[in-house]
Amino acid sequence: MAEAQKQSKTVTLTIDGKAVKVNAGTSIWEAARHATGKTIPALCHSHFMGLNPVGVCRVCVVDILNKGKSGGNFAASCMRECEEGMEVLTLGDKLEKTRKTLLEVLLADHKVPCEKGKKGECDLERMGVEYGLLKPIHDEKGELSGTQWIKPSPFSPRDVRTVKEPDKSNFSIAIDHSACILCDRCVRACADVDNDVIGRSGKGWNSAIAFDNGLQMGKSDCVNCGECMINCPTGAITYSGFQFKGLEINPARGEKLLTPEEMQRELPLLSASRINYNFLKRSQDGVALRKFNKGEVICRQGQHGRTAFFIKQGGVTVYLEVGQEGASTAKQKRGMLERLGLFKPKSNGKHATGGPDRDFIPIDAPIDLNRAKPIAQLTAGALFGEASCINHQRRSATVRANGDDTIVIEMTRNFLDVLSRNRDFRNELQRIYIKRGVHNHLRASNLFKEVGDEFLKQLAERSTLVRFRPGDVICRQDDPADAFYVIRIGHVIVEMEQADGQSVILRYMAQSHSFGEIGLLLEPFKRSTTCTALDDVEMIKISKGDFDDVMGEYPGVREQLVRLAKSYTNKPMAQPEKTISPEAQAHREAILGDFFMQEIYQGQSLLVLDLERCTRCDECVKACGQTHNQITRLTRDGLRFDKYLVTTSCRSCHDPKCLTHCPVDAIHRKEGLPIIIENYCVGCHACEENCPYGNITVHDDVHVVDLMTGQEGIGRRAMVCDLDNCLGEVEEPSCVYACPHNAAERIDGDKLFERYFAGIEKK
Amino acid sequence: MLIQELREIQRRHNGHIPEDELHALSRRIGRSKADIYGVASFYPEFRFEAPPKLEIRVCTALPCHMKGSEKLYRELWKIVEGKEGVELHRCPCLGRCDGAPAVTINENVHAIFGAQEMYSRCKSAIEGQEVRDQDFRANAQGPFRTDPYGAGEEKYGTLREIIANKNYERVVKEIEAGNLRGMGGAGKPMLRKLKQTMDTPSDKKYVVCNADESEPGTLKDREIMLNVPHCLVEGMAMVALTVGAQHGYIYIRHEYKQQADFLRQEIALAKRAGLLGKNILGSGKDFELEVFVSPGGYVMGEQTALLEAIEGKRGQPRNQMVDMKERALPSFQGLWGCPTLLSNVETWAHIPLIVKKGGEAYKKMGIRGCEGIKWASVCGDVNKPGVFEIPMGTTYAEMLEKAGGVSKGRKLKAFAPSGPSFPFLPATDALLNSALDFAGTKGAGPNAVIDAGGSVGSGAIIFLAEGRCMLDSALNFTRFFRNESCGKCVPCRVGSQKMVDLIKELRNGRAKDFDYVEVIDSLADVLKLTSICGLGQVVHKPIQSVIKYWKDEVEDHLRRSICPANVCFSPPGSE
Repeated sequence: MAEAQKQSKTVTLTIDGKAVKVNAGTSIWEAARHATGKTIPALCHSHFMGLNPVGVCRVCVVDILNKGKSGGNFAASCMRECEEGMEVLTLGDKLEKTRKTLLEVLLADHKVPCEKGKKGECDLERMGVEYGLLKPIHDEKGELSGTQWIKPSPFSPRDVRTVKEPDKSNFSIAIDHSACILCDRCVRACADVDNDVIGRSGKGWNSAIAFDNGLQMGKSDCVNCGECMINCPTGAITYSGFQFKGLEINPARGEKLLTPEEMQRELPLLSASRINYNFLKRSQDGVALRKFNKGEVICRQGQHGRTAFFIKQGGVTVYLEVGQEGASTAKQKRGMLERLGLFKPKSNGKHATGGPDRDFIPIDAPIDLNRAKPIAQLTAGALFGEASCINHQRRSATVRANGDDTIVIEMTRNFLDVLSRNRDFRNELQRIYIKRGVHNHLRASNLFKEVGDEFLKQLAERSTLVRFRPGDVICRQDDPADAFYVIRIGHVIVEMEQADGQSVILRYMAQSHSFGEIGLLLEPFKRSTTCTALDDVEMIKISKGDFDDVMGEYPGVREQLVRLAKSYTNKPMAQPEKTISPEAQAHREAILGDFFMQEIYQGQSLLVLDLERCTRCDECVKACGQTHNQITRLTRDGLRFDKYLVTTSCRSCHDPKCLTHCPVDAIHRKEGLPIIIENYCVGCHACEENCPYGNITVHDDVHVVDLMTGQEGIGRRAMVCDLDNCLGEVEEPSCVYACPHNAAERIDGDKLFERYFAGIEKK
Repeated sequence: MLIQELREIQRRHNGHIPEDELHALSRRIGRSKADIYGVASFYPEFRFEAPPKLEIRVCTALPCHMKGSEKLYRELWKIVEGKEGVELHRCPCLGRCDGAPAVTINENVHAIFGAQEMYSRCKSAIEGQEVRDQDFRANAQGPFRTDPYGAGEEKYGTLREIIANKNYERVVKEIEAGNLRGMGGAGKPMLRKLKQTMDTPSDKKYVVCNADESEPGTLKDREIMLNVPHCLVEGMAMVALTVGAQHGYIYIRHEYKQQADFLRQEIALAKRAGLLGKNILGSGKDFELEVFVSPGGYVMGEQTALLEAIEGKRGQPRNQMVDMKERALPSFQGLWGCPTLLSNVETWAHIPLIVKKGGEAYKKMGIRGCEGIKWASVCGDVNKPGVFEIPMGTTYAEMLEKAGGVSKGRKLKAFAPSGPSFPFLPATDALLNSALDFAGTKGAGPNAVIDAGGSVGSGAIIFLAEGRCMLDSALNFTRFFRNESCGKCVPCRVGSQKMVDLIKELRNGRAKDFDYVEVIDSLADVLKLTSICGLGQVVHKPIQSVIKYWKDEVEDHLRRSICPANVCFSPPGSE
């Protein structure tokens, strides 16, 4: 099977008599789910998991017919790929009887009920009930308390000598080998988060899961991320009750953290995702119920966030707030047009204090409007705030409660992550993400700031979300301008080819900048520049064709937009200075090269040392150490950017790579810019490895104060600079404050760029 | 190559793998500790604690069991118990069924035909006396028709001829004409997988020889490698050049030390003659061949498990991603993802003969309408157990005669046509006079053994005389499968345990509360229909055949506590 063939071809087969067309390479299990809507039972594979199938439990076997008759040995549907003309039977007496016997031998070795079975959470026991082998039992209060055999099985239980002792050595996860069915889910889950602590050991009937080289779990390199436990289908890996730290609540306002039972009751999302009880118990502090009164802000545009909200009661209004400044720490970026001198920012110079009554509220969009504009109403059952959890960007809208007694359930990013293991839920989440993202960002663009809602809605529906990899060319100079783009995430570099064939970098554009609008309206028009993705770029794209279609229905809008677009083109486009000396030109290019190569544009708060002033006295490093328990979070080392040394200290990136893959959501932004690593970090190295600049370090054997228990001890933690927060009262961070020579400063990458760019231009 | 790394560590550390070495290895090769531990703990070769001064392992597979290995184990246990530095274990088949019962004393195999003699030898080892390693001689008697070269004739002549004439087509043509079958037991046409490997485009291809003969009663490859190793090497080289493979492995069980040495010598000779290595005889083609010693385990004889082992993983068979009824799995999902042609020692060794004499001539070597020749072993209750090269189509009765008839003049009760993977059959004239053959041979007449679900298989015939307990024999075979299951898939790992338990309950007269035939049949269906590989798919065969042909005997055990051989109700059974 050639790979290329697999990707392009579709195959047609019949499953239980129903014709199904799927992409070649799809497993029968997947195809059957789509064709019949029913899931073929399985223990080692699940719709919930994002893990590759291994085909070991064999419960999902199907009969691949041969000329209408049974094809002999059954095939594991999770592994076997669909082939053209295949006839598959997923049901039938023989298959069901085989599955039942398979479950019966597994159950014979299983402690019925196991830890999870007591809550009705054990997949094996659940299937045992479905297949008439077990029946549920209830305690005296009538609550489900487990299962028991309907009649004794002829199969005797496993020889106890082949079962490893229970392992309770880990503080948050308990292992009961007697409930393990060796489905390899934990092994795959552990590898999936790159921990690789769990493996299969031994052979045959003596096989068992093992940690590292057969150590007790508590003595292994396990970081307690809980992935194994989330994925375990039986009571083999369970939560032992240790409480992690999560969301803060204010009980005076009637806020509370939800128990697992309450989560199951309150969050309909859970029933679809089949999240196991152990995970809910472990996430107990990650899900909070909050109450809001009329007009109160639930989350604010421009702030960072690591939580999503589910509306339980009442309704909320989503506002797209526009303005130039406000209470948030979000730093403003000037738009492209504005940078080119075409568009002057309107600034009233006041520093607003925030709160529900303000007229001007901040946004990282390049334009001003004078009032907050409600763009959507959401009611009970809706989810919002998920975008910041997905893309680690600032909140793109403000949400306020409509009436008193609005109740929302706030959940952490990791909780949402786990919900997203369910593919249906994940797809739905992506759909919402794209839909909302497109709408909000179109509204924020210059061109569409004043058009009607209906028009924008139409346009939003035609828009697509496009993604580019670093180095991808988005559009080329002199190509026809046939699409309009709004940058949602990432950076785009703008180059212009000069008459002499030399390409000169004009600008780079960041989030919320848009381009290509003129080409949509005034034709014929050619791209005046080449735009290339600098990093991972996500943009909203509206093609000219789609735009014209929508425009046909709103002739008034066209005139309005054309007028606006013409007002831009009447002004001269900025051209790079041509009178600078060759040396200055070379210098400029060297700096530009460094700027992009070192990805300085990513940083929002770089610690740079002016090497012309710096005497290498190391006061900055010492000050950092003093502030942080003798463990410095910066080293006076790094790449040089012209006369500056860009130190190894958190840059506070626009697109922080470190935030992805933290298994316990210990690293995140709260409302502000700094990346915060909470004290419940498990030291798994994920963020350390993800930071491209080496600015996060995991310290082994460091003296730490465990805030959970208040105990002092030796532990392993990832540590990162907490920016300007470190000295409390003083506005500057300790490193800058301590510098006796005024050599250290914290600076936005953009500002640093402009410092040079402006300087050169002046010459 | 993880297996070699682990072996090297174990060699340096007096026979075990210390924890810090495992950690260092993990860092060096970038595989997690759990992963490496998973591999090392899978294979019997590796251990994590220093080995004892003396380790004795007693083979308990059926041929040895019939010669009193269980009693030998128990008697030895009496003198070993409590003794410092001595370990005694049971072990699976050692490939010395013709000298049963076989034991290993510190990794060296001993098999001198007789429990009493073996007891004294082990006893002196336990008492601290030096026991000399046993020197094995070839059991099979030549001349062998497998070797196409007469005395004084130059070996590898056919390979030279083919390279000189660039006539690789001839290899394919003659294999097709000779209808060569996979001699490992399945009997599928060799041509099919050869063509599939040849036609799958890839820069890298492999040929692999399965010399991991570990099934109780199967001894033929042992003798082929000892007597005609050059045929194996020539066959592999010929086909490798034909399909475009540059590298080959001979995967050999570690008990076959002598055979591995013979093969290494043969490879060195061939290399010196320019028949292996780079640019073979100026053909512009390369082919390197090496011997890979197995770290142990019967399941490694399963073709994909064997590939996993070479790749340094747990030897667990691979799942079939696509339909494999008409395809050979390694040709598509082979070694390191490359097309791989994998076959048994005997299949490779027949190739020079077929190519030199021609496929038609090879076919005609068979008798009674069967095709070609076969190596087969006979053991159990016979006077002269051993390995024979025979024409395909020889009958089971003739095989019994070759092996000197039933021992001690007893009557024959039953026979296993090929080890534990096929049913036990009663010693009726119709069955005994059937020809050794694979199913589906065109010119052959009716065959009662094949009709009864048997086959020549790997040619491992075990004869059982009157007075043997069939239930005990079925238990022995089933227990062998349980112990040798890799544990990857549920039906085989759990199902084989349950099958052993059920047989024990029948034997001990406890399985009275349910219809045991129905329960065994439903478990058999699970094993047969849902197991990943051939091991799990045949676990049920011994017991189902015993219930079919010897139901009275089963009922005697269950209802009346009577065992015909008086073995089942003696002290509690072994594990």
